[in-house]
Formats: sequence, C-alpha cells, structure tokens
Amino acid sequence: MAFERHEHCENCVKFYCNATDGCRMILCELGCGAQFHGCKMKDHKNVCQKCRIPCINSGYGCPAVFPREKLKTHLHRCPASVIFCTMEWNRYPVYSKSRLSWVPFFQPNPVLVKGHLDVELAFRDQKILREVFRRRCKKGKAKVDLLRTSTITPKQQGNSNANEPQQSSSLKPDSRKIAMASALSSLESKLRQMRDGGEYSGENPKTESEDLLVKGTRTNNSDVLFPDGNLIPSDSSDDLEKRIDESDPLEIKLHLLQLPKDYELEVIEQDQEKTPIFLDDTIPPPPIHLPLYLDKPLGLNVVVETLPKFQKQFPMYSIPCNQVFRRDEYNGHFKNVHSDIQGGLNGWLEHRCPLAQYGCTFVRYRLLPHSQTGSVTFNQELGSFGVRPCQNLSDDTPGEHTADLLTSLPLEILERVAGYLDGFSLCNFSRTSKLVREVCRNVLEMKGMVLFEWEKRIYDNGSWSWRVRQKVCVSFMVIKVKGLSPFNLKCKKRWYFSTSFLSVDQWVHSDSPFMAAHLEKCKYFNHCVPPRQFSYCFLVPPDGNKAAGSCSGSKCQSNEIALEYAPGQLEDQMDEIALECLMSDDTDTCNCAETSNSDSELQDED
Amino acid sequence: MPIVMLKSADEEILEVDEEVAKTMLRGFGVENFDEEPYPLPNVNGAILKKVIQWTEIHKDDPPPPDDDENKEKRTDDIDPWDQEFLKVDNGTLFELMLAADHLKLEGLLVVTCKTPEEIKKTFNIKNDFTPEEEEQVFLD
Repeated sequence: MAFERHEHCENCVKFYCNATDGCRMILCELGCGAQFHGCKMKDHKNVCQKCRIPCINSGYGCPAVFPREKLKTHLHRCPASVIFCTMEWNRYPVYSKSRLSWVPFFQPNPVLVKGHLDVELAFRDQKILREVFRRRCKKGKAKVDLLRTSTITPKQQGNSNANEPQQSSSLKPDSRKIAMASALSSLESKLRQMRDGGEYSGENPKTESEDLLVKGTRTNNSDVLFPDGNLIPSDSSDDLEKRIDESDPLEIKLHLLQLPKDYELEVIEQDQEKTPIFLDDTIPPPPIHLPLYLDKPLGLNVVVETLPKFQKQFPMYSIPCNQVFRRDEYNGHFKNVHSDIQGGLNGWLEHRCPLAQYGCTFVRYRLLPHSQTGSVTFNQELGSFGVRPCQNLSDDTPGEHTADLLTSLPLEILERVAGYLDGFSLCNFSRTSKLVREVCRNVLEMKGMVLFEWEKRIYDNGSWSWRVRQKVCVSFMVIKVKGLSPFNLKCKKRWYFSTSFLSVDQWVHSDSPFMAAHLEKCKYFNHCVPPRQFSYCFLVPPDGNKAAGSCSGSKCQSNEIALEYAPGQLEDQMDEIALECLMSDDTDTCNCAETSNSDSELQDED
Repeated sequence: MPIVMLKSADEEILEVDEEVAKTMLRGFGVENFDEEPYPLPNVNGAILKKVIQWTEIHKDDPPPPDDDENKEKRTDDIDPWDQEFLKVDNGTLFELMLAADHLKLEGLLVVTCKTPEEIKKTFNIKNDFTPEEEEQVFLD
C-alpha cells in the first residue's frame, strides 16, 4: 500500500507501528535489525551499520568497501590515511668555508665503518642534502631558461632608449636573478672543470663569474643596464648558454672531503644567503681520513644535533625525515626511530670507544631491541633504520642450501607469511623476486599505503600548479549506457610499503662486556706505566678540607705549592721544579707524599 | 584412552591418542576412526611426528579468532615452547607450513608463518629482477 504523502511515516519513530495511514513496517533488508516504514529504506541506508560503503578516504585512493560498522577499525589502518613525518635534525659539515676552520672545532669524524648506525645515518643525510642541492640547481637552471626566453621579447628588442627608465625599473628583479643564476652556473662549470681536470688551475678564481656578478649588482643598485640595452650582454650570452649547458645539475655533488669539491658547499651557502662568496686560496686543508667506507667520503659530522629552527647556527644543515607512514605506523616510527634510536646515537644506544678520535673503530650497542639477539640495522636503500628481532633461529648460512624453498610454497601460504611482515621487511621482501613481488602486491591493501601521483603543470604565462596525474582507462560497462564515453579518467596511484618496523616496546641492556673490557685491550689506548717512581707538583687549594682527595689530613697552608718527592728521583729534575715552586714546609710535603704516593699513576701523555 | 593410527605418505604408521587425532584432523571433520590406519598422503612421517608433537601441546588451545583485522599482526608474540619447537632448518619449517595448511591447523600455520625473518638472506630466493624493475613502488 503506497501513499502519495507519507505524513505519518515521516514522523513515526515507533519500533512496532500498526497505523493504517502509513507504509508497511519492514525489517532492514541488510539485516541490521532495525524496523521502520517501508518508504524509509533508502534513508535508512545512509545510517545502516550493515550498509556497505566505500572508505571515506576513497577520494585519496583507498579502494576498500566494507560495512559501515567496520569503518572505525579500518580507518586505523587505512592505506590512504598517511602521515608525512616532519621530524628534522641538524648536522654540522665537517668543514666549512665560512669559519675558515673545521666546524665544530673540537673533533673530526671517527674512522667510518660501514654498519655503524651513526655513520650510516650520516651517509643517508648526505644523500638527502645532495638531492636537495641538485633540485635547487635544476630549478635555478629552469629559471634561467625561462627568464632568457621571456626577456627577449620584441618590445625590448626594439629601440630601448625611449622607454629605458620604465624598462629598467620593471625588469630590475629579473636582472638580478639572471646575474645570480649566471654567476651560479659559471661557478658550476668551473667546478666541473676542476673535477674533470683533476686539479685546480690556481689562477685568479674571480674571473668571469665575478664580472657577471659585478654587472648584475650594478644593474641592481644603480639601474645601469648592459651596454646594448638588453639584459643579457650580447657578448656573453652565447658563452652563458654554453656554460649552462655544460653544467649539468645532475652532476653536481655535495662537498666531499677533497679540497676542490668543498667549493660546492659554498654554492649552497651562496644560494642560501644570496650573497656571493668567492673562492680563495687561504682555506686550510680539511683533515685527511682514510675511510673504510667504500671510498665514499663523508662531508657531515656524525654527531646528530637537534636544535630548534630559531637557534640554528649558520654552518649547519637541517635534514628532514621525509618519510610517509600509515596512521597506525606513525607512532611506532616516531618513538622508535626518532626517539629511541636517533636520540641514542650520540653515545647512548651506540657507544663508541672513547678513543674513536684516535682511530679506534670499536662500537658497543648498549641497548638491544626485544631481546639479547635483536639488533638495530640501517638500510641505505630505504634510508631508514630497521630492527632485526632475533638472529637466525637456525645457523644456516646462505650458501648451504641451494634450493629455493620459500618460493616453492603455495601462494596462499606465501601471502600469509607476507601478512605477518612489517613494512620494512615487506619493502625488502618485495624486491627479492618477481613471484614474491606479486605476492606482496596482494597484501598491499592490508599492509601498504597509497598516494596519488602528482604532476606539475606549467602554463604559457609562466605560472604553474600541481594536479593528480590522470590515466585513461576503458570501461566496458559504460559502453552500453547511451551518451557516456567509454573512456574515463582515473587518478594514477602509487602503492608503497612504508619503512616502519614492528614497534619495539622493550629495549634490553646488552650483556656484552662493558667498554672498560674493551679499553683493556684497545690498541689505541696508551698505557703509560712509568718504569720508575716519579714526582709531580700540585697546587693545594686554599681550603684544606676540599683538598682531602689529593692531600688528606695535611696541614697545608693556603696557596702553597707542594712538591711530592719520591726516592730515586733525579736530583736535577728536582731542582728545576724547585726553582719554579714555592717549597712548603718539609713535614707537610712528606705527609702529602705518603698519602698520595700510589704504586703506579696513569698519566696522560698529552 | 583409545589409540588411533595414522598413515603418513611414506607408509609409516604412527599411533596417537584419539583426542589428539581429532584435534589434528578437525579440519577434515573426522569424528570416528576405524581400525584401519587413517591415511594422510600429503604429509611424510618425520613431519607428521612434529605435527603430532605440536598438537599434543596445543590440543586444548581455543581456536584462533577469525576476525584478525582488528588485531595488529605481531611476529614477536610466539610462545616460548613454539619458539623452541620451530628451531628447525628451513626445509622442515616449510614442510611444517605445508602440513599445517593441508591439515588446516590454523594455530600451527600462524606460528610457522610468523617465523620467517630476514627473508632474502636466509631463504636464498633467486633474484630474477632486472635493475630497473627493482623499484619499491607498485603502480596502479
């Protein structure tokens, strides 16, 4: 019995209703148990817990469809609900031109060994910085190209004398940019020449680049244009073009420990400060290391600093984490990677031998994840820390069995295995073989995350915008429907596994021998055991009580210098010391000598 | 306690308690056993012994919950007995996986699947990628 107007139905909220002027009562056809007038079924589907709905992140690429009641649990691990980690930390470069000194001043890097966590992270950071620098160069080059094409317009090529003031004022920023960019590119080409040639010519480095810069600055300050009225000097434009072409920004690398390559650092600095810094020969040579790390030099200090942005000092880089995680993985990532591991790199989790600066490569890991057999690793390809929960259960070596056992398992078991792996393992797992990759593809929705592929669109007028890259796909269902095109656009998606690992809730203290045990046999530790007894001078502080450690119970007077005497001391040495010291009372000295005369004293030679 | 006989793929006959056999063969829905040994043509004797050993310990376990989407899948929550039990070489581990899959022993399948770590190194997977294909990204 259908009613034209559902006056009763609209207002009826009863579970059981026998009203004659309403629609028939029905049970929800999806089985949620609700009862209502039949005309309300469509409305009810908007709230029904059993109604299947697409994920609310479907606009961001999540393909999941599920009953509404599962939405809450799904959102925790929705592949499209991703978080970008904005953590940043800082590093000093090993060598900086700006201070004409090594920065920080105290210690150079220890000997670099592959596998040490701080070294691995520093290499990753160097890679990131290099990438940033490369992009910056690329952007600069694109800008130069753009400006060059936009500045050579018919208006400017005509008689420029009539409207010279207007032009100069309107084009002032462009001229500065061009001058900067050309100077940059000439510096780059110079760098390339130096690297290709293998040595630095030693001539006056301020040649073309400086000329260009001077011209640019003059244009900037006093509105002086280049002689022909054009912004790019005709004599140097070909040259400039050649130079820009020569300097492939992809080739530029971050400063390395060899001397000529350090100039690249300055290009970065120049870019940051917008003030040109010129190269000269007064730079002290950076320290020469012999890194064990596969002939890859490290230009950054291995010590991680964490300073707020407003406190950042100049010769210091900020390195972003730049990784994307699913919502349920993020807290584990931040806690374990940034707080536990990175926070402990400077001597807590990873404890270097105190003589590392002298060349000792010993490292002790104080805290271990999960259990004594766990270890923290670093994967350079993923650029992330990982955790190995336990060492191999059986002591199989990879070469022992040649049969490919795992991939001979049925697919459903492999999929199940993959379902138990974390993102970090899946990243590695999916890169082992094609079959395994297909297996991992099937667990993407459960374990991976999805992002759109964005593309930059540059319009004719030079402005640009970002939009999601589209792909055309043919839909056979739509062909039957009249008036609709079978081709529809679909956003391009990229699926990833994140680099998060199974969160570590418990760190255990390593039961490996303490650092002291290593120091006993560390070959860099100079044990200075004097062959004979010796004497030394010490200053007695004014307050006698405070000196209890060195001169307990002595009757030392204020400001006295005591001289310890030991039999067998050479007489002439005694005299030398005595000349410089004010000898105290004989009895006091004897007391002191008796109390502090131990069998052997360790003395630092330095 | 009645004894049931099971026949493995290599014709080995093993005697087990009826209760254990029922737990083991729950997936097949076997309720009554004959005098004849029950044939298990896909599982060999050595593995069957391990499976029986595991089932004897875990016969009273509640069945694992079906809806495991809500639960975070962790690999470090294997109980200590299982950890010891699974300290075997990879060949045996995989045979156990297959047997667990075949016998539909969910619990055993779960623990065996949790064990593989360090996949590439330990399991000697042949890499048939070209360098360009070794990408982390899955395009859709």
